[in-house]
Amino acid sequence: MSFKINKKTIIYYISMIIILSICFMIDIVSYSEESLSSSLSASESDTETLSGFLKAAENGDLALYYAEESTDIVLEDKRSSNFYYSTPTDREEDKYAQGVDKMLLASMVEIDYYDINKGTTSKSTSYASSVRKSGASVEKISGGVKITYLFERESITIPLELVLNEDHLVCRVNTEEIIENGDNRLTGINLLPYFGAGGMDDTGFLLVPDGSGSVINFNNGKSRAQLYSQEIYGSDATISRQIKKEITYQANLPVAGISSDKGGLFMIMTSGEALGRINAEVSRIRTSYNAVNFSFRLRGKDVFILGEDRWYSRQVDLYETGGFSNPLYEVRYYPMSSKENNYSDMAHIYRNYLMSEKNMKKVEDQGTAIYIELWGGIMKSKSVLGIPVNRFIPTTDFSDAAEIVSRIKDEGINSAVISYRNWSVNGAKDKNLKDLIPARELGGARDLKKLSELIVSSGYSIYLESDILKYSSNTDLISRYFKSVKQISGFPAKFNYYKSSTYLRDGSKPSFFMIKMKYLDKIADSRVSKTSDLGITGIGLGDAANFLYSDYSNKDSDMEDLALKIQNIMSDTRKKAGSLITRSPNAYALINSDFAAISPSFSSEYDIQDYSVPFYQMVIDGCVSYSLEPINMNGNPSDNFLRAIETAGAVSFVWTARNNKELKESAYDHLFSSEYRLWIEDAVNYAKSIEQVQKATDGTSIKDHMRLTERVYATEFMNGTVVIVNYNNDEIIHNGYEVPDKGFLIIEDGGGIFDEAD
Amino acid sequence: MKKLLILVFIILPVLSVGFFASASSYTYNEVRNSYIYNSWGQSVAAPAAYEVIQIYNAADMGLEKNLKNPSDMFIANDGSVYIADSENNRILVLNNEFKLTKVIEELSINGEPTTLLNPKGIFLSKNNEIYIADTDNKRVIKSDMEGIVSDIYTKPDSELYPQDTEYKPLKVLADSASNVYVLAESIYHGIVLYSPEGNFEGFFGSNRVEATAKVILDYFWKRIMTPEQISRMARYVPVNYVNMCIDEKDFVYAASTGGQSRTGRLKKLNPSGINTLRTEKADNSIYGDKEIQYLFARASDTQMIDVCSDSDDFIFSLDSTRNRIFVYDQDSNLITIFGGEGNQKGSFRKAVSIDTYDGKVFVLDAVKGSITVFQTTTYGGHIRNAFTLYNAGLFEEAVGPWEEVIKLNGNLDLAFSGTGKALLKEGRLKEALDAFKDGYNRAWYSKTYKDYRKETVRDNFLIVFVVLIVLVAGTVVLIKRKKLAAALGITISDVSSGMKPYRYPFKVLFHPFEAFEDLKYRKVYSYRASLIILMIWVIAKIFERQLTGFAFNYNRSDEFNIFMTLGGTVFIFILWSAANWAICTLFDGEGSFKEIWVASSYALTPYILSVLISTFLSNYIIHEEGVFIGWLVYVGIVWSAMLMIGAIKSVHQYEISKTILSIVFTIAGIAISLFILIMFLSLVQQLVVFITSVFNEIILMFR
Repeated sequence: MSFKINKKTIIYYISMIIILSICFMIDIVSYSEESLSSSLSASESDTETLSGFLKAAENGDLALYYAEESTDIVLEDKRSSNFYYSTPTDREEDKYAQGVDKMLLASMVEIDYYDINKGTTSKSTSYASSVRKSGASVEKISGGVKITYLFERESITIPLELVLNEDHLVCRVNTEEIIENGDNRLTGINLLPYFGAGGMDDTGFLLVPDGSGSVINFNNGKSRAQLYSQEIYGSDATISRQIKKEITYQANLPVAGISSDKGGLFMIMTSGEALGRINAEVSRIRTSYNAVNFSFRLRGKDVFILGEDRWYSRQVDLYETGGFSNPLYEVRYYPMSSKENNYSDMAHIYRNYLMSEKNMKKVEDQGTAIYIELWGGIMKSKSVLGIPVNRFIPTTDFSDAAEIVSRIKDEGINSAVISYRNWSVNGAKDKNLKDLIPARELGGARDLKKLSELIVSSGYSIYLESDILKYSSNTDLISRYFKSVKQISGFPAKFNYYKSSTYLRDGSKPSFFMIKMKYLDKIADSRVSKTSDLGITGIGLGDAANFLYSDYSNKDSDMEDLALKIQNIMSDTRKKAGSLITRSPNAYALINSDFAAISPSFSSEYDIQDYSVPFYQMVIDGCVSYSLEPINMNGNPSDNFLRAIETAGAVSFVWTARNNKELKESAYDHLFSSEYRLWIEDAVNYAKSIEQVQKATDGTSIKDHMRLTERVYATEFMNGTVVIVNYNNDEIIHNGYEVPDKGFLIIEDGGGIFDEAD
Repeated sequence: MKKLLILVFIILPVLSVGFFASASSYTYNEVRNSYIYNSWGQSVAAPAAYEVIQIYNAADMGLEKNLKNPSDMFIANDGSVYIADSENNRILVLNNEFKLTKVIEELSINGEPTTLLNPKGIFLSKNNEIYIADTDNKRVIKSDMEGIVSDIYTKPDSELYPQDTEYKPLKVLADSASNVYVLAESIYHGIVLYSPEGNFEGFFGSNRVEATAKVILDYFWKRIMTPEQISRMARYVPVNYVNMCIDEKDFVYAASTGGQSRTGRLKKLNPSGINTLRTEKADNSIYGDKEIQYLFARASDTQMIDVCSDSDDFIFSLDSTRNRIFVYDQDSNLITIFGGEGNQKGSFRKAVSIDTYDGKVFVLDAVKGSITVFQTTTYGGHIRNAFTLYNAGLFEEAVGPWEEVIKLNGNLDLAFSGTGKALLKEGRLKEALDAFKDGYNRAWYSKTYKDYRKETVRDNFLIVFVVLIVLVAGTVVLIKRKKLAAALGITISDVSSGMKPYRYPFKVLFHPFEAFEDLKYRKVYSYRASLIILMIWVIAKIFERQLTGFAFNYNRSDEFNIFMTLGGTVFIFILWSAANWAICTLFDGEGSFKEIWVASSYALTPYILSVLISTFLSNYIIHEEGVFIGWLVYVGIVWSAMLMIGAIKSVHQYEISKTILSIVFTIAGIAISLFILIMFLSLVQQLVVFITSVFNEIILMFR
C-alpha cells in the first residue's frame, strides 16, 4: 500500500491543524473564564440555593441548579428572575395524569427500546426505572452537571450532560457513552419532556414549527385531540409505507417554543436534529400540563411484508442493527423574559443563531414581488399510428417563457424570479444520474440562452432546476442495485406517490430509487457545469432542500449525514454557480439559499393546534428572499396571496403555456390549473399589491405579528408600518380600521395596533 | 420479406412495452389533497371545494363533560343544533352560535317523569316538535321544547311487522303532514311508517334484493343444492337503510349500506316510495369511491352512513369507511369530495352525522367529540354556481362559472361538457365538438356532430358532389374494362391460366369454393400472403382500438397493450390452426398444417375488411347510425365464417357435415388448450411467489 501525498493534501492538513489549534486556544480561554466564574459562584451559592436544589453552575445571565436525589434541574434566568423546572413542581396534585403518565411527569428522560430476542418494544421513564431504584447519579462537570441514569432492569446506561453556555442551557447525549449490556437495544430517547411546562392556571402558548409554524394555546380544551408529534425535516423516505393517509406539511426548522406570563423557553435542536422529533401536548389530554419537547431516534425501525397482497401476508418488524449511526444529540434551551416572549422574539433568537453559527447572511434587498415556476415539458404516453410511445411533450418552450417574461415586464413589475423545471428530456424522465441538456423540443441551448439574456436584462433572475436525490425506478439493474440506498431489510428502497382515494401506492405515477450519498457530489458538479455552460448563474437542486433518507447499508449515511452532505453541496454549488434556489427548504438548505421558493404558507392544522403563524418567514426575513405557496394551485387563490401580503414575501405561480390539455390524464395531473393565459392578469395585480406593501415597509423585516380575531392577522414591520389581512368572506372592522373581505389594509404609521396589545 | 415481417412482429411489442410516463412531480396542494373521479373512474387531483372555518368541541359549546359516542345531529331552520349525545343519555340543544341552551334529559309523559336511554336519532319538525329515537327504551318520543311528551311510537302491532325482532328505533323524521318515518335496527323491509295518529301504515321505500349476477347465480345453485349446503351459503338480505333525511318537498333521501352491489347506496324516495334519483351516465350510479382499497387481499369499500340535501338540492353523503363527504347533484354527477381520515382539521376519526345550513356543511365526529363546519372555497363557489345554472338548463349563463372552474381545475370533465353545451347553443360547432371530446361526453358529441356534418356537407356541397361523381364513374369504367375486376378476382376468367398467390385472398371472397379447390389442386399456398393478411389483421385491430371515432370509442389510447391485440388475433389464429391440424389428423383430414394455416388466413379477409371499413366510417357517423357499423361487422364475421367452412372443407377434402363437426371439435380443442395454459400460468405464478417468499425469508435471516 502506498500513500500518495500531493501539495493540496499537505496544505489542507496544515490549514486544518492551524484552525483546530486556534479553536482550541479560544476554547481554553473561554473555558478558563467560565470555570473560574462558575467555581466562584458555586462557592457563593452553595449556601443560598433554591430549597432542595444545589447550584451546579452560573454565568452572567443564567444559573443551573440540581437536586441530588431526584436529579431534577432548575434553570434560573437572572435577567428576568424566571425559574424553569425540568419537572413540574406541583405534579403531585395533577388530577388527569394516571400511572405511567405520572411517572413521566417526574422524569428527565424517557427511553424506547426493543428486546432482540422477543422483538417486543417498550418504554421506560428515568424516574420509575432509574431514580426510584437509586440508579441515577449526578456529577458536576465544568459549566454544569452530568447525570447518569442506570436503567437496571433494562441494562441500559444513559449519560445526560446539562451545561450552561452564555445565554442558553445545552443538553446533550453522547451515544458513545451509552451502554447496552443485556438484550435490550435503544431505539429512541425523549429529552426533558416537561421542562418549563405550563399548568392549568397559566396562560401562554406552545410554538411548533409545522409548516410555516403553528401556535397551540395552553389549556385550549382540545382534550380529545391526539398528541402532536412530528419528525423534523420530514420522515425517512427509506422506511417503507404501505399506506399514507395524512397529507401534512413538514417541520422545516428544528425548533420549538413555550411561552407564558412566567417567561418562556425557546428550544433549538443543534445536533442530530434530522433524526429528531418535536412533541407537544396540552392539558387534559393525558396530564394537567402544556408542554413541548424533543425526542430522537437512535435506531431505525421498518416493517417487512412477506407475501404482499395475499391473505396469508405477514408483517415482520425490523430494527437497525449494530451501533448508533449518529454520535451526538444536542438541544439548546434559551430562556426568555416575560416581556419578550412572543413567537416573533423566538424567530429573532433563531435568526441570530443561524447568522452567528450557521453563517446565514443579511442581504440588502427590497424583496421580490413574484416567483414563477415554469414546467418545460412532461413525459406522456401518446398514440403514434395506434401504438403508444412515451414522448416528451413541451408544455412551456423557451419562447413561451420569453413571452411571459416580456408581458410581466411590460406591465411594470420590477422584480421577479423565474425557475424552470423539466427543461431537459432526461430531467423529465427522471434520469437524474445522467447529464442534462436543454430539450430540443423547447428550443435547445440557443433559445434558452436568449431567454436567460432577456430575463437578466429585465432585472429578473432565472434558475434551472433539477433533482439530484432520486432517479426513476425505470432503470437498468446496475443502477438499481448499486447506486440506490438500502432498507433495513437490505432491499433497495423505493419512493412512491400515494393515491388520495385509496391511500395506497399510485401505480399510475412514477416511482424512484434514492441515490447513495457518495454519488451526489458528482451529480451536483455535473449540474453546475452544464448550467454554467449555458451562461446561467442560477441553479436549483430540486427537492434536495426538503427530502431526506437514510442508507441502512452504511452507518455513515443516515439522515443527519445526508443533511450535512446536502448543506455542503449547496454551499459549494452556490459558490461555483452563482446563486441557488431552494423549494420549501429545511434549515440546512435554507442557510445557503438565495431564494427560498414556495416557503410554507400555512401549517398541517392538526386538531391540537390553534392557528398557523408565519414563523418560518419571520426567521428568514431579511436574510433570504422567499415566496409563498402558488396562488393558482389552491381552491382559495386569495389565501396564499394574503399570506404573501402578511409577510411581504413574493407571490408564486406555477405555469405552463401550451398543450395544457395533455396534463389531464398524465402523471402531471396535479398541475390542474397551470394555464398561464388565464392567470397572468391576476398575477400582475397580485404582484403590484406585493410591491405596494414592500414599498410601504421599505424592505424592512418583520418585527412582530399577532392574531386579531378569527382569521384576521396583523404584522408590524421594522419601519413601523402595520399590515392587517382578513381571510374571511366578510369585511371586518378593527379599531375603526375597515379591512375588506379576503383583503388587506396597510397602516403606514402603525395606527397603534401593536401598542395596546402589549 | 419474411425477415422483415418477423422483424416487425418482434419490434412492435418491444416498442410498446409499458414505458411509464414519469414525473419529477411535487404536489402543490399540500394539505388539502383532494381529488375527484374522471370519466375513466380514476381518481385525479383537484382543488378543495370546501374548507374548515370552525370546529366546536365540548369546551366551545359550554359543556361540562365531553360528548360520549354521539350518533345524530339535526340543524333546525333557525340554525339551532340538536345533538343526540347517545351514551350520556341526553339531547343537547345549541343556539346558532353553538352555545348550549338546553339539555333534554328528563321528559314527562302525562305528568310522569321519564328518562332517555341511548337515544340515537333526533329530528325537529317545522312545528318545533322534537322527535327522539329513544333506542334502548324501544320507543320514539314526540315532545315539545319543554319536554312534555305528546306521542309515543312503539313496535307496530301488525302481522306485516316481524314480531320476533326487538324494536330498536335508530333514526326518525316526520314529513309536513306529520307522518312519522322510523328506521329500526335489523328491519330489512324498509322504513317504518306511522300515520300522524301513531298507526302503523306499512313499510316505506321497500328495498328489494337486487338481481346482481351473483345473486342470480346463487339462486341457480340453490335450486340444485341440498338444504345443508344452502344453509352454509351466505344469506342475502335486502340492502339495509342506515340513515335518512327529508327535504322541503317531502322527498326522503335514504342512505343504505351492505348489499352486494355498489349501486343504490343513495336514494331519493318520492312520497310513494319510488327512487327518483337520476343517473345520466351508467357509472354515475356508483355512489362513493370508485377505486376500492385492497390491502392484504382485503377490500374496504364505501359505506354510506348519512345523507342530507341543501337548499340548492345538492346531495351530501357521508362515508363511514374513510370519513369522506361525497357531494352530488340531482343527476348523480359527483361535484366534489372532501373530509378523510386523520387528526387534522377537516378530517375525522369517526364521522357519524352530516347536515347543512345556510350554505355551510356540519359534520359530527363521535370520537373527536366535535362538530366541524365547512364552507365553500372560491373554487367550490364557482362549481356550485355552474352546476346550479347548468342543471336549470341555463347553459349560456353557466359559461362564466364553468370558465372559472376550468381555470382552477382542468381535470374536471364535466366542466368541459358544460361549456360544450353553451357553445353548441351559440352554434360554435367545432369548438363544441372539442369541448365534448375533452369532457368525454359521447352522447352530446354525437348530437353535435350531426349538425356539424350537415353544415360541412352543405358548405362544401359542390366538392362532395364532384368527388362522389368521379368515384362512381371511375369504378364503373374500371369494372367495365375488367382489369380491376380481374385484379380483385371478381371474374374467374384467368383461373386456368394460373394466378399469382396474392390474388387468391380476393378471389376467395367471391368464389370461395372454386378458389379453395384451386388452391388445393395447384398447391399454391403462400405463407407470405397469409403473413401479410395476419399483419393487416393485427393492424386493423390496432386501428379499431385506437382510431375508431370518438363517439364509439371507449378505449384509452394511452393504455394500449400490443400483447392483448396479438393475443386476440395471431395467438388465437395459431391455436386454431394447431387445434384443427391435430383434430383433423384424427379425422382423416388430408390437409397439412401449412394448408390449414394459409387457407384459414385467406378466409379472414372479409372480416378484416369489415373492421377496417367500420373503423373508417365510425369517424363520420353519429350514434343513431351506429347500428350500420354493427351490421357491417356482422356481415364480415358471417362471411368469414362461411369462407372458413369452405377452406376447411377443401383443405381436408371433407363433406360439409364432417367439416362442421371438425370445426366444433377444433373450437373445443382451443378451449381446452386455453384452460391448460391458464392453469399452467397460475401454477408458475404461485411458484414464483413461493420462491420469492423463501428468498425474502432467507435474506432476512442472514441480514
